[in-house]
Amino acid sequence: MEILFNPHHHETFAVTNGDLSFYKLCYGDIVEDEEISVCRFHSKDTDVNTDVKCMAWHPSEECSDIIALGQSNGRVVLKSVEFMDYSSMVHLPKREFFQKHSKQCNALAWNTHHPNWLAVGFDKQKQSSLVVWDVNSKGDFSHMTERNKLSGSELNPSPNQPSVVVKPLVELTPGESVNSLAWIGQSGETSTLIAGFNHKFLRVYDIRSPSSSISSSTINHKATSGICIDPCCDSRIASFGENSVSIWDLRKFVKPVVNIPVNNNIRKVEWSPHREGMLAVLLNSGHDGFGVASDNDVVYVYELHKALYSDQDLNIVGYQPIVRTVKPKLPAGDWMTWVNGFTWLPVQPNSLLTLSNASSFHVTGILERTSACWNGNRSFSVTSGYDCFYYSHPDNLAFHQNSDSIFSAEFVDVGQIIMKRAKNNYGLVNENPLKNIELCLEPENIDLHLLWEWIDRINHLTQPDSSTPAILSPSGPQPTTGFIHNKPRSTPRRQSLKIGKSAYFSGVLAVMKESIGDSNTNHSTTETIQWIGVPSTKSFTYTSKKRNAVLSLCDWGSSVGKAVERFGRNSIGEALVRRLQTSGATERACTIAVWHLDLKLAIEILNLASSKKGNTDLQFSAVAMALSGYTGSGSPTLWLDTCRRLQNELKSAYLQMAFAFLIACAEENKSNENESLKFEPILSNKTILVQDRVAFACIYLPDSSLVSYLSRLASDVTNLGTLSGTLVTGLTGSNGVQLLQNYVNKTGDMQTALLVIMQTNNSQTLLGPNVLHWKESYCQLLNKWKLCLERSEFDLQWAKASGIQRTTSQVYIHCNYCNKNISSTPAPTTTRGRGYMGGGIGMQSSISSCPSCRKPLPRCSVCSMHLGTRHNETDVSKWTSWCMKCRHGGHQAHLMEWFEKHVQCPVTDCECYCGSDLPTG
Amino acid sequence: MVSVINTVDTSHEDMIHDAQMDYYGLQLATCSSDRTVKIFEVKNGTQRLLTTLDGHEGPVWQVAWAHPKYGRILASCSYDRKVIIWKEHDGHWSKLYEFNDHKSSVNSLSWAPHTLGLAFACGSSDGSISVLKHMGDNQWDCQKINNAHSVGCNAVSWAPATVPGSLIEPPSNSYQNNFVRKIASAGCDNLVKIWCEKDGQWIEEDKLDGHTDWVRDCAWAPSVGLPDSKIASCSQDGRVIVWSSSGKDGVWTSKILEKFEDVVWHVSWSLTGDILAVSGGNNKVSLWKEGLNGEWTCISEIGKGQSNSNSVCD
Repeated sequence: MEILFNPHHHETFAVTNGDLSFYKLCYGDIVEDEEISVCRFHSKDTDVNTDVKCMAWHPSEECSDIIALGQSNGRVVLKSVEFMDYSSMVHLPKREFFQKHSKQCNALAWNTHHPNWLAVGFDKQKQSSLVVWDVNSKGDFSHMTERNKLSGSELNPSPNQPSVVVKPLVELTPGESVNSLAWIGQSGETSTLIAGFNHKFLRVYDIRSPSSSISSSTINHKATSGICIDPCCDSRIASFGENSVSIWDLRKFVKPVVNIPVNNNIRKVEWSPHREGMLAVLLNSGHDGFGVASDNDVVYVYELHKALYSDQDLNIVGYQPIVRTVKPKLPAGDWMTWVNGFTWLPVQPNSLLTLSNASSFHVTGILERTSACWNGNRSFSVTSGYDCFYYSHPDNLAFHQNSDSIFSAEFVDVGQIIMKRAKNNYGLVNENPLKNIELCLEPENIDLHLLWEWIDRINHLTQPDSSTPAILSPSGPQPTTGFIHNKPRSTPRRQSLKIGKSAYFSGVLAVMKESIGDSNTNHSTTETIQWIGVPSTKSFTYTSKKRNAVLSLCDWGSSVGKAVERFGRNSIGEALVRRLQTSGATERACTIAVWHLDLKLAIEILNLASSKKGNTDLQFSAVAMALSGYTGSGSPTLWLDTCRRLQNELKSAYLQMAFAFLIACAEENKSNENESLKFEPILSNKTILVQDRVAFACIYLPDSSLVSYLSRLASDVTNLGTLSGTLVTGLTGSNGVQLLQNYVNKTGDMQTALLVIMQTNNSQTLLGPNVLHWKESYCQLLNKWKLCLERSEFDLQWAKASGIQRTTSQVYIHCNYCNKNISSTPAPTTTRGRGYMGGGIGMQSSISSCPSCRKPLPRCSVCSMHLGTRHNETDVSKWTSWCMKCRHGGHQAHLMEWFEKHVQCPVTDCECYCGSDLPTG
Repeated sequence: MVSVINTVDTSHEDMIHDAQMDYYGLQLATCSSDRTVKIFEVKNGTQRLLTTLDGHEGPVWQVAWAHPKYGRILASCSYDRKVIIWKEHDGHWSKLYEFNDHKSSVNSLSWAPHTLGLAFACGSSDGSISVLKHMGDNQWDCQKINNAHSVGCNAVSWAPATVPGSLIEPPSNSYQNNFVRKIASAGCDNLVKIWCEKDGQWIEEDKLDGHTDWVRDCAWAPSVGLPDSKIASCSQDGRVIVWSSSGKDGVWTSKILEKFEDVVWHVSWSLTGDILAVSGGNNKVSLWKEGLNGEWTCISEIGKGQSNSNSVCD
């Protein structure tokens, strides 16, 4: 089985499988991995279409329709294949070459340089088994290559006498069968022929030598079949013997460079016409009736690298080529189908055309080895074969949530977000932490928002400008902030409690622990609160100053300053509920109203919401109905059972918890359950915000169970890395750092962790190993992104937060004449200059001479004006800069402008390539 | 993932094996079987050829940029058994140093983290790994790990220099000693090995056995605020494995990310170490991210045939 493409008409190919057939292939129709359709066409001369052992297309373009066929009867036939588009052209007659008593013809090869030379190899016979015919010779076809003359009638022998004995140009008699042969050096002039003989030896002939004798030594080697020369490298030859492929280098034709052992007998080897050193190998089908050899449905492709040196280095010890397998998609599960033949596609690189024993054709590509590598700038480059490209993220693509879901939730490139945030000054706007919510670029990340809201509340609660601690402020309306501080229930106690920022940052757990441990007045008092909307029903609550402080921290403080009571009409509770309702959180508002024992308010909120929504959502009305049925501890069992069922059907976790609370209160007297267990469903519900759970616990849990609950919650949020859990764990303790570390592990967002913990200004925490590691990583990222300004801003804040002394300036500009530092001395013109600022005459105030010796400063090499800046100049473009190599410099802005277009120093005669070291893009 | 594809017309005459952007993403270095290294300036999606570096006598497998604090330095390794260090001076590139102590093709090269000084490691088909450190004045000190991998070493990758705990100590003379000096290497013995420098000697610290064929590439994940070490490796057996270690007990656990049908050639971590790019055949690159449950999912796949430049795809 052999497949051979016409060297000039890439769509045409011949297939021999005993008989001979021709096909046309339409490249546009090729679909990889599917059977492809080919168009078969027949040649007129059917008589030679049998017993074809080998074939070769004529190498020259004008005779490209001619194919030489070697037959088992020893005849070599030249025949013209009528292409469709050649139908109007010449009708080349059949021409035959033969020797008397010839045996089977095994190999054919045209010489590309002398296109009339055809080398033919035969089985072992008395006469020469390797001959070269000049197909032009012996009169009949004196000008074979001239197509027009071929078609001339006088040269056209009678079709009835096709057989003309032509004496070969060269006859070689090695006394062995020829397995394969090839002309060497096909790219240039050549007359050297290599042939392999009967699994015994390989020999190179130069047919120009008069004796037609051997021109090279004989190599005794078994790999004598399938000799082929790498079209991309003349000196590289492949041949095969039993179970092994040998690669030879002709420059050192002594032994194979590489032997590649294979598992089975080899059917065919062929070099890729496109890629150097790529050899495809097909093994015998090995179908033995008992099953299939595993190798019969693939073509192996070996990638060999360039042989570099002609010295002994050709023998690379342990060298192994890379093996690729090409597996045409034969009918699945059909073990009766295997690859019968293949050839490289002449046009499409790295693709093989395979023919199965079921006569189906497939085109299968070899996958290129691909290298993809991330670059620093959130892009990555890909190389594959001859292609090279890089993917980059355009900076201008906004992180809009609704812009065609560009960033799907499951794929957020943290690096990219971190960079955008860094540019936005995320985490560094200390005066308003709420701004970070907008800057964090994660509109969906509630935890992140809650985190910054918490920071914001801490800042407000510890506002230094309020004379008394904020939580004790009797009436502290601060309408501008919208955050007002909870006032303790009894105003006289205003003197004692002072919770500092550091206490808040140590977490609610730490605050409560300390409070409980303290045996003084800080013990909580119990109160009995009358329900609103449920007559004669009361509930126990706990209160203390610390609890109230925590409630404020949980955002359960009120927003109207007048309210002093947590429960009842016009209380803190009602204000909180109203505030939540206005912000649209109906379910949360309703549930918190219930938790504040105000059923009237809860029902009112539900009714409002359902009237707003119209009748589409009946759930709110249904819930309102259910709520109104509550009658305290005397609630009927039927109501309780119905509520339990309803509870499970509710979508909102908050509404579920409203009922959980009611049920718990109703059954209060029935069971002797522990107080803390009573509310367990609410307290352990992870969908309820951490702050609401903490606030709830602060009202309804007694001291002991409150602390144990908070400890439990702290370890929960720490393990999960729940950002909003910092409320409980704080940031300064080990729990808080661990929580953030778990968050970083989960998300890779060390930026938030780092910037949040910097809010604590606690140097001990900040200099811990985890935090320092975040800082190091973050700084490295900023460096890589060339965010120098962001980096310096960060460094300043870090120094402030961690209390580490900033490194003082290490570089000074000194005067060339008096050697005095010119930057540290306040400019004498400063005071006056300030008066003139504005109106564009600020330049007047800049120093252009040395403040000590009054000698002028050097001139800018671009504008030739004297250098010098105003004292404390903040506009970087007016600063002075210079090259570290040639020491020439000038105004920053001028230099930037210059180096946009040049790489060399602006100073005449200075050869320095200052610009080539500029890191700017 | 949205990205713009910029096709680089490299004008290489043979297969391109590697393309690396410099630290700031301004210049792209490519290398090819045509024995050259080319450097392009990349700006706004266009490229300009700055220079072509000739000097190798065989296919150049990999290029690597040194940290910019050492100047503009590029290293290339080749089939010709050489590593060449190139340096730019006043806009001109020249050969700074040539290392040819390997007996066979040098397959991979990796610069050490910049905090460890100007140093690189390279792995060769002769099975050895060399670690070279610049001692000043273009003198390079070479430490060799012989027989690192039998049959050959395919890839080397440095561990990040900073891990938690390494920075506790205040800056002092012994500051540098706190940095981690470790290399992961991948070889034809189907293993990934971890090497650690102790008292000036590189010793084998660990051996990661999980692949059934040649390991083509390994990559140590950047440690961005994470306490765990992670190494990704890929093999001719089609498997991509992510190895992780908490660092405390020194035990590496493996997780098979995926088993692909064809050879997987390269793995590469994103800057923050949260996304792994896996490259198989034919331009096929897939991006993987570890979910909260520890499972890896493919978040993006870049198929072949996207040759149209500047198109936006997702």
